[in-house]
Amino acid sequence: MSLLNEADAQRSQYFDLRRYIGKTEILDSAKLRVDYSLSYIRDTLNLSKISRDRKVLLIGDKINKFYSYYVQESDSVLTADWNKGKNSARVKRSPDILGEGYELYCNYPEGKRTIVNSITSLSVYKYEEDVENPRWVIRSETTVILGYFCIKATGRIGARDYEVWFTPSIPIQLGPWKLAGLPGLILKAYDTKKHYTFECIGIEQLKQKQPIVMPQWAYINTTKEEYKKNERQFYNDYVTALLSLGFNVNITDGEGNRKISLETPNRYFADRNISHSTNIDERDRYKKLPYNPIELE
Amino acid sequence: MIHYIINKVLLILFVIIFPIGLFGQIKVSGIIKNKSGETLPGINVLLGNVNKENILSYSISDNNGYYQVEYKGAADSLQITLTGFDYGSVKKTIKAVSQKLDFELTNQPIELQEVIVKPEMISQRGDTINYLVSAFVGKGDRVIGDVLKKMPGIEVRESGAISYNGKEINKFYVENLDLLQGRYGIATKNISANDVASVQVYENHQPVKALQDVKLSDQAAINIKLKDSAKGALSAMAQLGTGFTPFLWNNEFVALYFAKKYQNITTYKGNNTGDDASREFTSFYSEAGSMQQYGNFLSILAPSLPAINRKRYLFNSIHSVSANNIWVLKNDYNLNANINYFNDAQKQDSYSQSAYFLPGDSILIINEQLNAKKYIDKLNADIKLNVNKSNFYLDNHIKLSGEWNRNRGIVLTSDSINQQSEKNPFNISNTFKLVKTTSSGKIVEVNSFNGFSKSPQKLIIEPGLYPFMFNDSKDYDKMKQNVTINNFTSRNSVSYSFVSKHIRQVYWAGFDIESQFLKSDLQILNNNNINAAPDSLMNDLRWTQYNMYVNAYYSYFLPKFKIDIYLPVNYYFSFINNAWSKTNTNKLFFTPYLHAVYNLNNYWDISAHYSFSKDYGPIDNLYPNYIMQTYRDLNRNESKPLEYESHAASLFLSYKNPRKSLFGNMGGSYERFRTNVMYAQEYTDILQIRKIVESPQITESYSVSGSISKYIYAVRSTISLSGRYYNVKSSQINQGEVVKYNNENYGFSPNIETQLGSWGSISYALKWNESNGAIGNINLSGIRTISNYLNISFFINKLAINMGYEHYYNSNILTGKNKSFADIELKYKFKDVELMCTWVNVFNSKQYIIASYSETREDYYAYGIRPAQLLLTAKFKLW
Repeated sequence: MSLLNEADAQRSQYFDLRRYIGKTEILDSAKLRVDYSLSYIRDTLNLSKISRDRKVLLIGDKINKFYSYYVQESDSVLTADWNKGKNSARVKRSPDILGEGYELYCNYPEGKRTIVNSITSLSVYKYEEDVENPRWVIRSETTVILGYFCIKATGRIGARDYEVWFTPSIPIQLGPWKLAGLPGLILKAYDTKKHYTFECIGIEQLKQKQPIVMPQWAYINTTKEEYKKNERQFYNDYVTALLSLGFNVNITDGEGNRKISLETPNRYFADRNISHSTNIDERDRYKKLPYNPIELE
Repeated sequence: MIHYIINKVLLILFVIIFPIGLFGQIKVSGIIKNKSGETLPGINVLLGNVNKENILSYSISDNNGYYQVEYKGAADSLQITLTGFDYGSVKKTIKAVSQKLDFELTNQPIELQEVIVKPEMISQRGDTINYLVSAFVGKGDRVIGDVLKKMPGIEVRESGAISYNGKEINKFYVENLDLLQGRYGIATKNISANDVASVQVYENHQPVKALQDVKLSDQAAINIKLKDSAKGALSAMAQLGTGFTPFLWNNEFVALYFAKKYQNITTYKGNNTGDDASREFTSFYSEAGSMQQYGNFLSILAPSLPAINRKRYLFNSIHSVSANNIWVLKNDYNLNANINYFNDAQKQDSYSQSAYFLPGDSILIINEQLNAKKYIDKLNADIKLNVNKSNFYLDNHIKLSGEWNRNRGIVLTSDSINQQSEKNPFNISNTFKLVKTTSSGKIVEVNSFNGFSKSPQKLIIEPGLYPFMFNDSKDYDKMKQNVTINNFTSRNSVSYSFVSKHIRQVYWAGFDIESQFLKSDLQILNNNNINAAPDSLMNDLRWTQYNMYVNAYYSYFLPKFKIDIYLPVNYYFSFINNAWSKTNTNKLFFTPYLHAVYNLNNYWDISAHYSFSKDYGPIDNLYPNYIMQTYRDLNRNESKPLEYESHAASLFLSYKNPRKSLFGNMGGSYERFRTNVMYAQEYTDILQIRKIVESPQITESYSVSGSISKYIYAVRSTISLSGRYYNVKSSQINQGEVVKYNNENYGFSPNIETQLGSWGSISYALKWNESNGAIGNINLSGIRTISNYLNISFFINKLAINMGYEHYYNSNILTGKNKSFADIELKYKFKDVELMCTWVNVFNSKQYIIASYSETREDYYAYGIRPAQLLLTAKFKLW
């Protein structure tokens, strides 16, 4: 294993969220659940390395929620451990499985979309945005996906061009992530560079309605611009960003021995006796993290 | 740039498909309402060509139910389609002119064709690997053992032992409780596959929670996770079966109960159809507290067992019962009570020919016809109290076992010899373990094992043999060999450990005693007179061994790498007392052990080990005067205790990728084994006298093995392949000469289990083995054995048809190299009753011939096997 891969695996822990679910708010109840597999590329310099996630779209009468199955699962496993008095670091999975932490709540508040996202496990951000669907162009190609007749459409959002396949047989104008507004559910979608590919793997009509809940984390209310700025900062200079987020950072030599200890100026967690520290190899200290989120702008 | 071109091309296409400007643009708009007049938002309005599924343009109704679709084109008429999630779909053909068109839709819930998410068949969460049982279970699988063998990475050996990625498991739990104490065949053969939700593998499982950070384990454990429906309710199953020929019976009763605070499995199994029900009682845990067993010191001469399915040649009549209980008491204490008992009567008939290679190219051939009957009663009982917390562990385990064996046999060579043996070994032991973590994080561990065993046995041979040795060359009636071996063993140790950032340190001191006692006499009986055994046919031996040791254990660990070193220094002394002499031995020696593991990444692990060990004994190599172990093995020893020294090293590589259902492992090992003495075999006529001669013997062996298994979803198959190579070199004394021998053995075995949808399944296994050897200058002819096992099942509604075929090939047989067996089984299930009709050994083969060779001899055996038989059974679910 090359040093770079090693460092990459080490870094991925910042994305591996450790959020304990406490109180939740019920927003709606879902009548339909759609599951998508997502394969995506985190590092555009390493196109052969594919990360995977599984996404769930819960469709209610008013509100829809889109989230990562794996992040949700690890949140609940770690919460269960926490309640038992165990402070588990993370849920170990196959290295290619890496859940993205964001959650979308569509039509909440009405006519808008709420986005919940976190950069590290210490802070969960929340912001609202207007819903602007891509301007879709319907194409003449058709195919059959999971037994459903599908039509191709193309559109642009988040500085990526998408090709999607939707089925008029399921008259719901939704799809994975922000890909919505077509006269039928989107069963497959990918950007033209194939950095992000969603494929439907399950459709279930919920006989027993499942609540659509929003966890009541200690949200940092922000705006999309502000959030994106923080996110980019983190990818550009993660050591500084970690310090400002409340982590103590230990710079270590190649053997893992501590050389320098950097203390966070953010006293919020220290004052609560929560110690969050992370080790960073000195060779990685000034490296940039690969930045290739689904939403580029 | 490419983007730009694509966009341009798309634009051009667009222009060709929709020639804007040539035709006028039309607009169709309106309001969509429901029956009660409420406007409907979110309804799709699609405009397409008549009777086509294309979409020329679309609109989604807004919050006021308003829609507007536009069209530019040449068509005279168009099709407008409205779809809504709760409103079905409405189609209408309209003229291609701008118009207002309102709709009234009827509420009509949609019925979607659902797509079930393919569950992750194998998934990893931390150190736990989950195998989803529903993904592997086939229609013909009844118990969880049937499903376990289809799970890639999990291997169920023929003995029933389970290993995970090449290493035997160290614990088997049901709902995280160790109900069966290692006899997990009782679980795998009786828990219904339909009651199990998932099989979990706990990797690197240290069963003692308080030692989880101190002693790392590289063995895995298995946990059976039940479905909620199988918890807290009693389930019971009974089976009645009968058939011919001869008159056959096969009955079972199994009751299972699994709750949070109590678990129980109770079984009765009885049959004379060749199913060895006692195999479920084999314990697969390697117990720290075990002791030397001498239950089979004397034996009647019976044929060694052929390497075919045991049920083909086992003529039995067995009744077995077991009751297994575990209670969860207050404060996390667990109490186990397990008892199992069986009674069996077995018959064996064989003809054998053995050729012994003697120096000088001479060969000694012995022909024998053997008939043996064995009557076995065996009882095992365990009581165990256990508490397993992260800072405190206590375990006290009392084990009791007793056996009553009566064997009879007739040997027909040139004469007829009657053999009779009686063996009643008895064993009781107590194992105690305590681990406590102090408030400062230090760990104290106390281990103590105390056991006593008694193995009285006798062998009676009729008529008396070897009169030239024992009765002045005069014929006599009987010879009777009596032997009793008693063994008291006590092992005690105390240890103290610290854990610091990268290093664990454990220091301990221990004291072992093993005191053994052997008494024997060989009596000559004639005309109801017992001739007192002369001294040369008597033994009265006491052997006491003490071993005191101090041990330091260091473990250095990083997240991906760890190395363990044990450095025990032993002071050993032993006293041998017999009627004629006394011998003392004392030695100071060092037996280091080293083990290193490197986790390359989530997929690959490499481990390596080296160890040096030293051992003495056993007592059955110490007695100075003759003991008749079988009627033609008369042995005595001329030596101090056998001293074994062994250097062993191994390298092991394992791979796992649960997401791709791919598991594999590869390993190599080397062992150099040295004993201070050699066996010498001397033959006088048919009689073999084995002496021990003081001359060191070195045995070197090495082996390489590997296996790979994968589940292929597309063809619903588990495919596995394993291969091995083994080579051993040694020497021994034959008629006073040192003879070198060399044996090599290699083979491979592929295996496939396929589910052919809901109507059938196929499984196939092949075992290919080659062995070659040489003794001195004589090359033994190589033996190739091949076994094929094929099983095909069809399911037609409630009827299942099961066909099994076995084929065995042995290259060393002159005639009849190939042997085939076939079985047919019909199963019919209705409600809670399953009727079964089994026709075993369809070809009605009655004999099986096998050739084998050991170090210095070549053997041919012909076995009597079970003829064709028909069995009818009914299985009922009682609760």
